[in-house]
Amino acid sequence: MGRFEILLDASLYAYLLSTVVLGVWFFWRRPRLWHAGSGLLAAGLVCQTAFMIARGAVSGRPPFANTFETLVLLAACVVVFFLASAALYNTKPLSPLVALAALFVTLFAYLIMQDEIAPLMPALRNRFWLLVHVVFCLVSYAAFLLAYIFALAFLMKDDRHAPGATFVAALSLSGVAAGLVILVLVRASLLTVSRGAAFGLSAGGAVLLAVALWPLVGWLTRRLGIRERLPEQSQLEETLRRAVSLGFPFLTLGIMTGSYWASLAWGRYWGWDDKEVAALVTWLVFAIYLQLWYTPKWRNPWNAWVAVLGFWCVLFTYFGVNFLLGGLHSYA
Amino acid sequence: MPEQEDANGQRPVRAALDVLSSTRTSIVLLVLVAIAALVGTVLPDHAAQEYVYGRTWFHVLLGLLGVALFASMVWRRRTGVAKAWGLLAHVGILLVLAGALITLISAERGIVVVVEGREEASFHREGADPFRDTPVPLGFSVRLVDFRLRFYPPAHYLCVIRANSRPLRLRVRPGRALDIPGTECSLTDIGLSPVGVDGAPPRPGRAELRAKAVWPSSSEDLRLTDGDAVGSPWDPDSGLLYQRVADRVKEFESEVEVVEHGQVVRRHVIRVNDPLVHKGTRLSQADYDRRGLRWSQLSVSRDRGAWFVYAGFLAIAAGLVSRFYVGPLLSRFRSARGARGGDDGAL
Repeated sequence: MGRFEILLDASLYAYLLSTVVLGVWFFWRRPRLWHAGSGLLAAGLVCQTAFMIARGAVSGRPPFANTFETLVLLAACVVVFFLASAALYNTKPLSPLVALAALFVTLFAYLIMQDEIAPLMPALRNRFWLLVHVVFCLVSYAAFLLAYIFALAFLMKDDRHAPGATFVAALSLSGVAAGLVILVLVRASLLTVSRGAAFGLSAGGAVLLAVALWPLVGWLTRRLGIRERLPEQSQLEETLRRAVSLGFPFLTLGIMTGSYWASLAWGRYWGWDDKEVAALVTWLVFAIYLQLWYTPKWRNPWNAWVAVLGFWCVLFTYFGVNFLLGGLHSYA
Repeated sequence: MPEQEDANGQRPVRAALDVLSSTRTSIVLLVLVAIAALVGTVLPDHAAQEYVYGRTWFHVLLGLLGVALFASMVWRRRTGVAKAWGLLAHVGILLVLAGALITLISAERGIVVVVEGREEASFHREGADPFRDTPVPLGFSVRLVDFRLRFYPPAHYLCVIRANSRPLRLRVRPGRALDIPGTECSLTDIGLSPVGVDGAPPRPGRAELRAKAVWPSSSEDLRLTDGDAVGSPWDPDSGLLYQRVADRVKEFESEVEVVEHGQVVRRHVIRVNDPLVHKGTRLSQADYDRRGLRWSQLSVSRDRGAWFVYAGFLAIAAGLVSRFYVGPLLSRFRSARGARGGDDGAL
């Protein structure tokens, strides 16, 4: 463990405490609790930013060159965007979920962290394009993660779509839990499997767990009055649209910068690499969402499902391609 | 001449344009492209090229998307600043598709293998048989002056090998103490020194690790040459292995000269992120002679479509940013000044 990894530890604890405090605030709305919870969220963000700066200074390159480093950036971006949206659009009731998402993302980063800062392979030795391409992509992923949370909250407020949204929420939680368990087992050398098998085990475990947890999550949602405590549906629809409007131009820029960088490094701007195509599919899904949203007669709750599908495409692009398919981006 | 009505009293061209330019059509086409691309992602690379990306139906699908977008821009002309930004994004998508079409039709790709000290004036097309197909002239000659690999400085590791578990790999740095996690053992006074030189890249030499090993009840001087292992004193089922990693490539470098009419007109060092672009031909580092470093393989690309694609992406991004942020800000500004403004309508 290096000197500045303590900052990552600190951010992990800050997000954990923030999740607890904001969770209490969700049911017991006291301004002091909100200030404490959001303050802890901001403290975690400060620690992660300091960690990234320190790692960048030590390595002499932008600290966004592998999955671990990009996960830290992702968590930081999610918190920045959420704090901004909470201030501008009053999305505070979703804060426990966002803090939980930041906690899980940081925890994943923590579990795959390697003590050594590995030197860059030749294809990545371009600081400018590494910086802009990865930051654009990760900013879009963070915005789409928030859009996912807003979309599920929006669907939970709708009587027809609430059961489906509850299942997806249960699936998300069990997916994260299964992934964490598999990672811990692999790290502790209690399980020796390939990356693809680990991904498959996590996915299979998540579906089974979600099916088992679905009734419980549904019952808890009703029992604890979670739906009533969420923001109004119109407000959620608007913040969902704004989150997608933030992520979509950045994803476009991410694909564009990646395409230019590919022409420098590999001699072609588009090679139908798995990661490129997965990013294109994500772009198309969110293009469909926006097309539907900007056609007033077609605006309806089903659009939110398109945003949910879009985030699943983000997950496939970010993790699925790396773990299952490989290709030119297998280092990412 | 006015358009003829059909038996149902409709004008067929107008009806076709209505269908083609509709939001429903564009969404159906976007969904179809997304499904096709997703299938291509799941398939192995060669199968994806053979059954999806390289097939005419996929190109026709992309072409239809372009036609539908063009029809919607022309047929459903929209006015207003907000609509203009959306239009710019649509123009961007058309430029990307146009660039892709130019690439498909006219791009030339291939490889050229250059041996040190020799010149090459032509390249072989991608997928061509180098013994049967005629090479394509480069339009100039490229001479390889030198091919070299640059390495990162060697890194030193002590691996703790344990039965039934993954080895623990610890970075060793001279002068620093190293605690071995999960034990009460440590190494102090660590020193690293070169041992012998075999000269052949990519492993320029070997090294010896010297340290004072402090075990729970004793201490001893430890000397390990890279690749050597010793049993650990704290656990009969574990051992220590010293590894020196010196083959981490930092850069592939092809130092070349461009020769025209017997004269050297340009010198350039081609690296992975620094291709040589000369007279519209791009030469990128692709492969090299792994045994003797005597030759370098460069990929050749002539593609006029690329700039259309970049311009298209920029137009999409500019259109989206303006539509989502600049437009509403201007609209708010105008509203504040009492002027009429709006933010509704199709993208």
